[in-house]
Amino acid sequence: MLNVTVNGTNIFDPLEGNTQEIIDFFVSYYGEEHRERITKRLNNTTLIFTSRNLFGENPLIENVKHFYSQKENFIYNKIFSELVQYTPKFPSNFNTPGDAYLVKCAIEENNIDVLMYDKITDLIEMFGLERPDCPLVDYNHKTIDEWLAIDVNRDRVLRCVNYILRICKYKYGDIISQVLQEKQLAISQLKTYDNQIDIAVNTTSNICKILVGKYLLKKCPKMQKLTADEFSDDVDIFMSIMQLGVENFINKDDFLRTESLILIELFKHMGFNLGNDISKYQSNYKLLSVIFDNELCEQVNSYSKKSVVEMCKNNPYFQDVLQTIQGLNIKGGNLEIAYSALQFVQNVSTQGAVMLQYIDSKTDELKFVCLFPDAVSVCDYAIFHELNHVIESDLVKSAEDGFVAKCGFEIFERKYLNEDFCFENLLAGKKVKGEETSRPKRESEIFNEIINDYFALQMYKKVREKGKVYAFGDMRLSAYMSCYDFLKGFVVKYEKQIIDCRLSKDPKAFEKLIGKDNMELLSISFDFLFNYYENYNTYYCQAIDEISKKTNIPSNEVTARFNEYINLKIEWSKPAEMFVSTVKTISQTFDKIDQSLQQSNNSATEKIARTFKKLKILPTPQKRPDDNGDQK
Amino acid sequence: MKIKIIIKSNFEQRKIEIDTQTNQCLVNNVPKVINAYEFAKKLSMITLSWQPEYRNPAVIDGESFVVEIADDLVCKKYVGFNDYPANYHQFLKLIMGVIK
Repeated sequence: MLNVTVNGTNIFDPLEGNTQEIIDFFVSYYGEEHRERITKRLNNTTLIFTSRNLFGENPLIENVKHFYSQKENFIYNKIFSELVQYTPKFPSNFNTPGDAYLVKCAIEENNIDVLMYDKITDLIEMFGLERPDCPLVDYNHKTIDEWLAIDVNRDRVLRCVNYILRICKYKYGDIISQVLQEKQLAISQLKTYDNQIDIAVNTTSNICKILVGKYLLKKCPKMQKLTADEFSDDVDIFMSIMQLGVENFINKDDFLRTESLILIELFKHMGFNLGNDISKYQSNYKLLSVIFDNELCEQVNSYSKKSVVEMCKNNPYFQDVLQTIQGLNIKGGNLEIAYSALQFVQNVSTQGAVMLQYIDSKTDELKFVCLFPDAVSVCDYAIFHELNHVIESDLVKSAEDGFVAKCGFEIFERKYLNEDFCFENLLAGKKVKGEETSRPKRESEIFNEIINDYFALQMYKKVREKGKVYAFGDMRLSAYMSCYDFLKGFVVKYEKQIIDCRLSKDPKAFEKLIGKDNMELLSISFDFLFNYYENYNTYYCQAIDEISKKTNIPSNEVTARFNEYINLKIEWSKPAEMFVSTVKTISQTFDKIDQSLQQSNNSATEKIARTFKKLKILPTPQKRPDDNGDQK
Repeated sequence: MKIKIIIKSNFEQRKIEIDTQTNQCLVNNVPKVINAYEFAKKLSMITLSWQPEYRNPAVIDGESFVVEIADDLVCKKYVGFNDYPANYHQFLKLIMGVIK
């Protein structure tokens, strides 16, 4: 396993030894009655923390630097607050947290006078002291002597900085040097990993480009007159056509105008001027024989394959993930999961995480793999989101050729590929394809995700309240949060029922509780809201604005009681109408479900009362602690 | 030519809208200065060999993308759910150049 220590934790295994603690935390959130389910599923989960190298740049290194700069600032701020606390005569001008930076400079310079005279201008800038709310704003344009002469006692400042130096040296010196050492070590380890990948990527991709370039110059000598940039662009375009393949190129009839222009320009550079009609080029045998030269295609193909293998072999992140996956007993072969992991490590740009279900070939149990970015990039909120998916999963059906599993309100059907990961399989293109596994339309996907994410956030808040942190990436807003406003009231009121349904074996449990029609309406409405997320605020503001203008009610009042005002008969503009109608549907559906659940609760209570009456047993009302005793 | 690109994952949502005629570019609804034609040219070449749809049904969460490119005559749409074309990294590099 990869091992890079940041903050005393291996960022590729931040939850090490914490499984039981996490199980207990999940049980405390979801209820003791779900302990067995939670324990079993979380024990059956392999969490893999990895990293990505995108285009030869590893964002992880920047994240590690950012983490340590925050940590250093934290230490300096701590020293500074001690100074403020224990030095009664500490100058009042030095009382903003940013002033802690003085401490850092004092240590680095180890020369108070240099610090005070030469660094102060930089410091003012770095502290952000030019901000209008800063008491030092007026001193920005003054010389240091003027600045010190105004109302800061220079001797007192010097004494303080001396004191800072002493404290730092004797009390915090070790901690600071330990942090700096840890930072240097982590970064140098990560750079070693990255160098391996860079060499592999650059060497192999350049070989293909050089091959094609040499070929073009040989076949089309006119191209020598092109500038280096023009020629490089042409090589890229040429390789794209090669990738498209001869048949697809000949039969393609939906070229965009830009595509045609670029291709025709390339062909003209190559010495084939057949006018500006792309079809003339598509049917020109001579041109086709140059573009799709068998020998060149074979060479490029062979190097491309080599490049994929080299990239896989030299990517320590992927090798690490692969090793873990190969150690699991994945029924139906591990190709599918390994391939997903490869894409996660190589391609995916954002800091999401993925969860995959599989059947253990030895025990026939449903098990899970969760892939996360390293602990510096991911925060506990994302981990809880994925683990929520794990605990809401159940095996519905297992067969020889595949299995059916439930995840929340959804069902997944999976067919086995019966292939293990090896380079031959990868190169033969035996990756996951649509026709090899079926994925039923996930109608409730967004609705399920929003609820899941809402619970993950509540859990994250709880864990932070306890002061516990597992992974330490910055908290980021999830895409699903935008829909919380319209869901929160209902989830808070029926939290227990929703949890019980999500953690039930029956994927239809929630649908049975709220009704099929309501489930469909909510699924469609939340899908719409989420997919228009990027314009969500625009729609929302527009709707508020329209209500406010048409009713003369101030917009803040409309915002506070939005759900009530959208029921007014207003002639909406088109975009606002779509948004309002979706919000209305959600609100009305929740009201309908609320009424129906209340009724069923009442009828259940009445039923119990009738039963008691029949049996001539009257239940004695329980006295609540806040009752004052005059209950009748 | 009009281009619309959406990349989504749990914790990230990026939308790029480009109009080559007006040389206008919006990244998450915020205007950006780019050479729209150059961008369109590179994107066209990257997507030339793409299939309309990529899908890995085995994955829960993860990343999805939608790329829509339209001119007066043709409208193309490429979508991916946890599966990506072979040169997706080139696409990401192009996108990141605009987002940064």
